[in-house]
Amino acid sequence: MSQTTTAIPAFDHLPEVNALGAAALQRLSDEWLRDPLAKRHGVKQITIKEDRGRTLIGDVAFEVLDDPSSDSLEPYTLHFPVDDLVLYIIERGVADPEVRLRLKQIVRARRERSGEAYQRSKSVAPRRLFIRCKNPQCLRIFETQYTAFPGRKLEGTFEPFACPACGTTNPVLPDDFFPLDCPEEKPVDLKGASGENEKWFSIVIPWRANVFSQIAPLVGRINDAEFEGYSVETVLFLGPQGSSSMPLGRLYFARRDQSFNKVFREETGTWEEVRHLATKKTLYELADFSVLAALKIEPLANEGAEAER
Amino acid sequence: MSFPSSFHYENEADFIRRLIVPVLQRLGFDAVTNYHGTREHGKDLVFGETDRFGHHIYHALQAKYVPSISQKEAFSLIDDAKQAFMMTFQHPTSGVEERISKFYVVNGGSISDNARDLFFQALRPQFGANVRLIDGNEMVALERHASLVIEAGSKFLTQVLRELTDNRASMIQFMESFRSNEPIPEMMLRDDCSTEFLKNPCFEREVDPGKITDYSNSIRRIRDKKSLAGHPFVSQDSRQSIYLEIGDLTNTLLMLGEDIDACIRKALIAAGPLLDP
Repeated sequence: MSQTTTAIPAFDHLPEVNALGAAALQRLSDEWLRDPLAKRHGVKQITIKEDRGRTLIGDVAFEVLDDPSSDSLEPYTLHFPVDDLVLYIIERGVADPEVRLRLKQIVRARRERSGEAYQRSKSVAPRRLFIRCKNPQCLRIFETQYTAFPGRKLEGTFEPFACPACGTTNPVLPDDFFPLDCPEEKPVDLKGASGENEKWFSIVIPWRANVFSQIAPLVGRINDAEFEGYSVETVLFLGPQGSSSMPLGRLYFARRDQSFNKVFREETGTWEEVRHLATKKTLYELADFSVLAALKIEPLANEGAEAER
Repeated sequence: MSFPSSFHYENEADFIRRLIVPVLQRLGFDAVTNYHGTREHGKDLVFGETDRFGHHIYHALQAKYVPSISQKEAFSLIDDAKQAFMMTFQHPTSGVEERISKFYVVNGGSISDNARDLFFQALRPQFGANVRLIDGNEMVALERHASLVIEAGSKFLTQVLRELTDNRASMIQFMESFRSNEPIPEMMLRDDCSTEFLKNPCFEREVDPGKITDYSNSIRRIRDKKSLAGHPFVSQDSRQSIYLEIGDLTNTLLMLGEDIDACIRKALIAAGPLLDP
């Protein structure tokens, strides 16, 4: 189910409808839910509310009727035909035929003048589903191939999955899948000292307790071993992006083909390592990025888990 | 109800040390002193703040880590509250005898309605609204709020850290070119993040804004000297002496940068959420 976010002042220009009161409008709205048009658009629940003498449509709950493949992330548009509901209420709630006619004319005129007054749409997108290893010593989260609309659960039976981190075999129930919010990937402005030809990438990690104690020592360091398929010294850890309001965060990296500790010497046309003679230190310090690799949320390669739809 | 799912503490002391104390510090309370296990007189923790009148006031906190506080257990909490208000405590640094203004009970689990009613009915007539109960769920909400407060600061510090490492690479490159009489590379020293930090300092206990000011000022002095060295009216000898000065400044700046770098990393380690999502 998905709900509208703002109240709809659908009865503001219809004093006789407004005068019916919230209780009567709620009853008529509930009746309208059985109308074929309401069913076609997946409208499941309407909440009428009163606010300082005004009667408004408070919340509208939909059932997403679209049945995309279980791994789709394509958004889906919910449509609420407000005008049809209002005409239904006028037809059944207002006794005087002349008043009914006048009110219907108002609705038609407003619909022609401004379609937005009586048509509401909202786009909802399915969310990626994750699963957690049930071993209390592991509890690692993995990204699955499944997606679901907000409020909707997967159905069916699933094969157990073997945790790639600890090897525990986990039985899987539909309730084990959960969506997680992750900060949007933001483009990185690479204006560092290491020159041009740099590119950036990010990985997703769980934003959990004490995450900073693991990543803070590594900010501004380069990899001392192969990391994410890139060779030694070619990945610079730029820093994290995360918030305790979201369960997932991102780590950003810069990468280039040459070592970050090498500088191009024009006279020889070669890349040469530079060290501070006094301290023997390189431009960037090396660090073990295996901690970051261990934090990364991996896609769960488990072809055996199949949802029955 | 039991404990919130993100609570995995061994016992009351662990709950105090790993959650309550950091949350109070993140919320800006100072002089957080742990009396747990000593002659506490109803006070596991005492913490202070400066009110809007500029007066320093203290609060006491009695922590529990049980799945639920029942009506029976509320009696002992009522005693704790009365003792906490009645008995003075000694300020840990000044040694002055002080009294508390407010008393909090924090439980990792829930607090039954009967226990709440009894607690407030027994204490409100005497202490008014200065007695409070906080359950596990409320503690989770407080942790989220407290983490959001420091998140902006930690984001800033990460940017300063990146600036320090990039500047460091530039400076080493400059120093080694200068030493080996190679063409002096363009030294791209940035101070935008450190300047931004100085406008709105955070983690001041760990990261001294004075050091950041010195760092930022040194970068500006290097920039000025570089600009002077590039001036066509400056003689070759003077230029050489300016570069020597830049070299000295850069060496000092490298050491200062490493000092700040270490402080920031230490500060960042303590940042981040205290609870798993």
